[in-house]
Amino acid sequence: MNKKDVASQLASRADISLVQAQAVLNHLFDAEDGIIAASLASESQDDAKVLFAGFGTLLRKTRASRVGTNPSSKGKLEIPAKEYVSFKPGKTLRERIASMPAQK
Amino acid sequence: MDAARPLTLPVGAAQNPFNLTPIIEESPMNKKDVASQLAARANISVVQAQALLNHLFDADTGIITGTLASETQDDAKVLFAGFGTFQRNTRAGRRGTNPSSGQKMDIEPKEYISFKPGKTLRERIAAMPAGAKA
Repeated sequence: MNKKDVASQLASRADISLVQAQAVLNHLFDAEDGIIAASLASESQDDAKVLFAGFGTLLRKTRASRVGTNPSSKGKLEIPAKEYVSFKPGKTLRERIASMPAQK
Repeated sequence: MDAARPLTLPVGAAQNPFNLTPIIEESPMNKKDVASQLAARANISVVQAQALLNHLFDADTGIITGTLASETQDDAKVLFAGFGTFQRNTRAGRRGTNPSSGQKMDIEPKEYISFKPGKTLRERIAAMPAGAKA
């Protein structure tokens, strides 16, 4: 399901046009200037957190630097610290999904 | 000292006998905050914006959750190009050990949700200076 599919469902549920629904999704999810991405890119890491109660939290974290090994040359190299985005599902969503029969 | 967080108390019992956590540290943006920004950007009321967010994110009736709870796993995927993908996966069952009793036990397979950030968002965030806080 992509943004277009979500937009058409949102349009019918909220009784708005498809174009309006697409605009709303871009306001939220655009990776360059959407609301969520902008919040995750906040200067202060404490602010870089977007919480949808029950659904989950998107947040920016720092992966600590570490010493790694180049697998082909076996040389040690410093892997620098890095910012990344993670998602922690909320309790309601997590429990709903966990109660589904496991597949495969 | 980090100028952006002037109210942070020094760690240590003597300076912080009640182990207080400064309120300023816990300020995640929540659905209400997103709604007010969305209202301003989309030129709609805050009430309308909140309704739209509920249509999307409500954990019981929202569109995204509904998709993630699809019967078939191939359908349980929501992709926002550039931003990322929410997806349901299966964690395989395995043989585990109860750490306190040492007893072997079967851990059942389980469905769970993961989020994989999209290329644009991932690169934008990775380009930020790595914070001091781990």
